[in-house]
Amino acid sequence: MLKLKGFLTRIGRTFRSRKFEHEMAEEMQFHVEAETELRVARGEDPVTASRRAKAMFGSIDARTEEVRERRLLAAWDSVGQDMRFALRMMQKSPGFTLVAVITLALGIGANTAIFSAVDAVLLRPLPYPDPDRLISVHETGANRNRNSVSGAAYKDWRDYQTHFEATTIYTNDYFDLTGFNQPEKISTLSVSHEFGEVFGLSPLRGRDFVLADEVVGGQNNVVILTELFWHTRFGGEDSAIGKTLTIDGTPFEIIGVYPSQIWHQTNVEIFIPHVLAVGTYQASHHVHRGSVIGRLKTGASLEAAVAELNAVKQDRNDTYPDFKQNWGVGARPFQLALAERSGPFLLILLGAVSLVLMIACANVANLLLARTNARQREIALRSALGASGNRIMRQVITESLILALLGGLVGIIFAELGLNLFTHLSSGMLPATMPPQLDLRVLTFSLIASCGTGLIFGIIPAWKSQRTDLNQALKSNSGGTTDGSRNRSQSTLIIAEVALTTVLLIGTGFLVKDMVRTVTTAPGFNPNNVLMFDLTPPYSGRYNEPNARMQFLDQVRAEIEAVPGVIKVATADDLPFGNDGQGYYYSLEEEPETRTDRTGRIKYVSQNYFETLGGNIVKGRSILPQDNTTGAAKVMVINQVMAQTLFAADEDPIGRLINANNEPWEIVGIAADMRIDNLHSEPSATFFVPHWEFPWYSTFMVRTVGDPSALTKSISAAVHRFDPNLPLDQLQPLAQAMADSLGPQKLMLRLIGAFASTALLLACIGFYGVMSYAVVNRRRELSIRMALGAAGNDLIRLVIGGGARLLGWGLLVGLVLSALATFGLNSHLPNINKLDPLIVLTTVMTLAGVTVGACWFPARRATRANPIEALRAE
Amino acid sequence: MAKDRSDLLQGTLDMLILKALQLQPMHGFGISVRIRQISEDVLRVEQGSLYPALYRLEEQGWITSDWGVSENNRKAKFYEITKLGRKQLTQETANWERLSLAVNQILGAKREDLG
Repeated sequence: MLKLKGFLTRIGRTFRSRKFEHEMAEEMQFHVEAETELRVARGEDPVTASRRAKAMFGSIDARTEEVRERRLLAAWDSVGQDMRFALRMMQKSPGFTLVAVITLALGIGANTAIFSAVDAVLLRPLPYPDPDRLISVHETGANRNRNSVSGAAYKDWRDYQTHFEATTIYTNDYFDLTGFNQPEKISTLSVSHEFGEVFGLSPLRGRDFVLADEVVGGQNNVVILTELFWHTRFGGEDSAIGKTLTIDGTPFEIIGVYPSQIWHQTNVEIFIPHVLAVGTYQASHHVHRGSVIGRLKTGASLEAAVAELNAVKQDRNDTYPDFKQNWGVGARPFQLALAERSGPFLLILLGAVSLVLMIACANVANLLLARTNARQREIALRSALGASGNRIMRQVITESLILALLGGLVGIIFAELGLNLFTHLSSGMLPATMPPQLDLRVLTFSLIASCGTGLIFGIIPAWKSQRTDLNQALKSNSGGTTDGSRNRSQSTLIIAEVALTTVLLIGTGFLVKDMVRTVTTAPGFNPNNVLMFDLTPPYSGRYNEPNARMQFLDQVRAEIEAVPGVIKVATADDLPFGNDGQGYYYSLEEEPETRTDRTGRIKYVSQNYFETLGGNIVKGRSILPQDNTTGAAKVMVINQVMAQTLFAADEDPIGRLINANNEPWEIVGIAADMRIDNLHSEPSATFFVPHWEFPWYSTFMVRTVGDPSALTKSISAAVHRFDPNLPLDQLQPLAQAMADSLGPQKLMLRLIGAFASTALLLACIGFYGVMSYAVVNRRRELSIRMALGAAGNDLIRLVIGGGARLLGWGLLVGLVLSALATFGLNSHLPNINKLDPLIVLTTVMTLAGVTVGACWFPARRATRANPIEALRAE
Repeated sequence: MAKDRSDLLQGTLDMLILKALQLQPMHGFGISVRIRQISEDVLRVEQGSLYPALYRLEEQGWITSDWGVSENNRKAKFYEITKLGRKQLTQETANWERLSLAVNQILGAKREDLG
């Protein structure tokens, strides 16, 4: 207890050294004065007494300086000693140091790289003032699903809410920009005037939007540029303000420039006002294309705000159409909304990569344990010479920390390389204005990870080293002892390594299985030799009404069909694998009570759609030219999924009526399911209706005789013969888009696969190391066995048996962990719900093969040794 | 194995300080005077080594310190021996006695006792 007080006193003095020094000086001053008084009392004269007393004591300053120096020296000395000793040890065994540092560098570097991605997407605060107050608000459908926002709903929220400082609605729109080199399609964000206010950012130049820009009949034709657009097209000149851009044939005045951090989608080039004109689709209850962000008032709660918006909706329910009677309002933080798609996957990656780091730690710990064994005598000697157990422990930990920090440093280089690769492979999959980078936060993480790693792998060897049995160690005449407990530590570490490797291998197995399934599943159409592009004419000018647009589509189609090499042409409202799509509630016409039970995907298609894509009509007919005319009956072709949902196996859907978008449609055909949006998931219930019903978006699919890219020029020329101002957007072969859609899945597989391979390699090295070491230790025993007649094979079997036991335990623990992880991750990866026996078997065989290999070489070396020599060497 | 000379002196000084404090708490000057008294002026503590020794003993928990008022009403830091310190003193004293007994026996052995 008193020792504790003494210890605390020491700590206290370190921190409050100035106070302590002051006290010291006071104390010594008292001493000198007391000595003076004593002399005076003995008869000396005061002046001489004082002089002599001071002389005896010496300068007080010098004395205090001495005390200070001694304490400092002692402290520095021991730390310095530890560090010098550690560095000397590391120099003496360069091989060990190199292996340890590289192992750690791999683990720490990989973690740093993945962490920087996690940081960028999930942790780094958004580049807005008070970003936590930014909330994404959405409508919720009858089954609580998230839905985009309709203008009418937004208006209600905007007018009646009290919890937000400001709200804004925006939509992604594409328009034609002319006036630069050639006509091009640009991505724009139509925003309400509160946009800048909600995000808390003002324009760099010019002015922000105001209410007058947004009202019907107001100065709607104004535009704010993004910083990038301003720099690339106008050279960043102030004179850009006031100039005009021709968008969809209409002049728009440039009124300002927004800072680049205001919006995360880097493809968005300009901002235009979002006009909620009554009677237009923007303000209706039926079109849901908007996203809404609100800035909460300081201190307002999200729950209260959402509750209020729901109450508002209920109050005004009579203004909502029938199908939205049971709809509601939901909200979540904006940062969460942005992170949603990639967040869970990044976290899984981080989990996987930390397993690799743990395996690396286990390996280095084993290395250190083996070395501690070898240094038994030295440690025992030092103990006998007076080094306390603590001191020895401290030395091992110092060594571990130095190794770990070195590993961390080299790891940063690996991280930089890895990050470049990762960014390259994952382009487009992460939110764009938050690129992962090795900034201060990430480097701090790296430092903490290094220190943590050092402590983790250092603690076991350090603990073991100070528990050395001195007598045993000094007496022993071999280089090391067969300390049972130390071998047990090594065995435990190996079992842990095998277990973690098992988890990673099984994870990889799942991803491989998934990928194989995705790639080998027939897509339901023929993606080869099809060129596709978006050709959506502007909404103003000659294309501003449906008939004109349909005519345009027919004419362009005919023009393209005339190009040599073109077999068939079809149009649709969106591109395959386009991440776009519209949906409606659908139900049997004669069952009005089920109106809002199910939603289905709607595709507006021209005649020849299925024929061009190579899809199959299994019953009835496809869409025909006569369906695409004014006054034609409303017909639809449904896919098999929808047919199975609505009808029993023996019913014939042809001729039946489906209610969608509040009107009845007659089923004229059933199409085989096509995985045209997404190769990975099951196709959803889809109905195909004539393009004429919604000619506002148009894309073209052209089947060609040979390589579709070869006809790019002639097809573009055909279109431009008709109208030279129309850009062909997102032009590429369908096969290309299909391959790209597998991007995220491929990336995940590659990364987890890389981690699993690294883990396997590390575990293999670790196993080999531990087995070799164990064999060396048991040299005596093995030699005796050989001398007593055991054959080489028996010994090998003995050693491998030992290794197999470790493997067995490791696999068992690993399989249990994998099963747990499977249940845990089920929500994110719905295809994984139980351990596939094939994957388990493959994993077990891989690890078994590796283990046997790792055991075999050391075992063989043991049998090679001459038993007599081995015994004599003892 | 033998400690080197400074260690020996260090150990001795520690014991002298503890002995001086055995009866009552004292300030640094008082301790130095007392040591001169007990050793009948044979041992004079080098002033420079007294205070470092006191600080060290305090950190080891053998003595504690506190500010107080001296005989002539001045502020001074007083030191007091702790239970741990007393135990240490008893042990070391026992060691010394054993050592000196052994030395005496060797030195006092009659010529006939040696072979």
